[in-house]
Amino acid sequence: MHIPDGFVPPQLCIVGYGLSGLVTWHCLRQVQRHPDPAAQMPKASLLAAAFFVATSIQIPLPPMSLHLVLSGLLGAVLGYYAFLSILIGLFFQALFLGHGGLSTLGVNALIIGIPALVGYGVFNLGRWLPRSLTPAARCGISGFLAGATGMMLAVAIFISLLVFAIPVGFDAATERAALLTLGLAHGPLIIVEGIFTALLVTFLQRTKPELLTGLANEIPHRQSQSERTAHPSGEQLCD
Amino acid sequence: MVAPAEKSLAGLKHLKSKRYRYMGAVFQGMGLVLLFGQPGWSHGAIATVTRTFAVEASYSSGEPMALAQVVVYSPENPDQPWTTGQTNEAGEFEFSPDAAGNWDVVIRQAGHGATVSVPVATTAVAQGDQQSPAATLISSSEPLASSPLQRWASAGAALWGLVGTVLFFSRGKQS
Repeated sequence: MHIPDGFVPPQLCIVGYGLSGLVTWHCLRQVQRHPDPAAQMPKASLLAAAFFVATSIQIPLPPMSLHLVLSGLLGAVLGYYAFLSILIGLFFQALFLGHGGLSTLGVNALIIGIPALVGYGVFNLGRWLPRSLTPAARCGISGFLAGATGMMLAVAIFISLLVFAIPVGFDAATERAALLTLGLAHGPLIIVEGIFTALLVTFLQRTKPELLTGLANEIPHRQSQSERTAHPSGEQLCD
Repeated sequence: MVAPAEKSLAGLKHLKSKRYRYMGAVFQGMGLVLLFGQPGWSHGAIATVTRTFAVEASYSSGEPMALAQVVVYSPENPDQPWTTGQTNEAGEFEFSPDAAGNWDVVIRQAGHGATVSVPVATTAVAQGDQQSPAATLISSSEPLASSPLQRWASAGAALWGLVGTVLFFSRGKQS
């Protein structure tokens, strides 16, 4: 899921930086609208560390090696903070581990960050699940959908970007077949990531629901200072 | 080639048999080819000594990049592929440059791969110089830190930075 330096044309790198800059700006604005932006920082930083580690662990599946992306998980737990955490995690990976590259940082942030934001949206759809289900079940279902959607979208963006950027000299059919194989190989990982997200979200919902509720407080309009300070801990997201 | 070889081969002069003389000359001829690496001619077959460069590609996990696509760009025309091919099962690819300069080798498989610059000296092309040139890795999935220790130390520092951020903000919240 990490495109290394020199694998996409420079124009795409510039567009990637431009778009990820815009998304970062939007996410920072959304984060600022939160009653207490700093309150989510420990969680965002912890998950950035988890992202840094989890996406560095390669699962060997000859002839290639795969890794988790945790897009949906970060989106479900962090909301708009997810994109920022992913950006920081990717920067460290490019710098220290050689995963991805500095020129493709913007493109990679979009590949993994956009599915995280979509995963956040999918997780929020859980409130439309039938009320007859228990809160844990609703959390689990929406968590699974968020995790699976995140991974699926990340693979789809990654492959479509590379399919349209096959350089001159390479046999497009062979590279397309290799990319398709890579996509199919991610099939089981989509399920794994969905289950992992569902388990973690259900666990958080049972033990520390306020970790999830922090996001439910995202209010579409700006609050006054008095409202911000008097804001209650919030209702449970999945209730 | 046989006649001058017989003259110079003093050690075999005592051999009476024509057959032995012939074999000695053949051995000497082979020796000359092996020693000086010059082209040898025999019964119309042509053997030319070329300098072959081998590139080996593997994933960061150590798994060889088998059957990956390879494109070689010559120094004269870096825009058009000079040759294309595939790595073998062991992730190896060989090519024989015909000019001096920096040859770029791009290896790619499903969006993963590397670009290597192979500097070829004039002598290496003309005389089959055995001195191996130092190839420069332009870009790859390999990290900047050269040794694993460096890599893990810097990754650890990044992790500690993130954990430190967690602790810092948690502390501010409690107080």
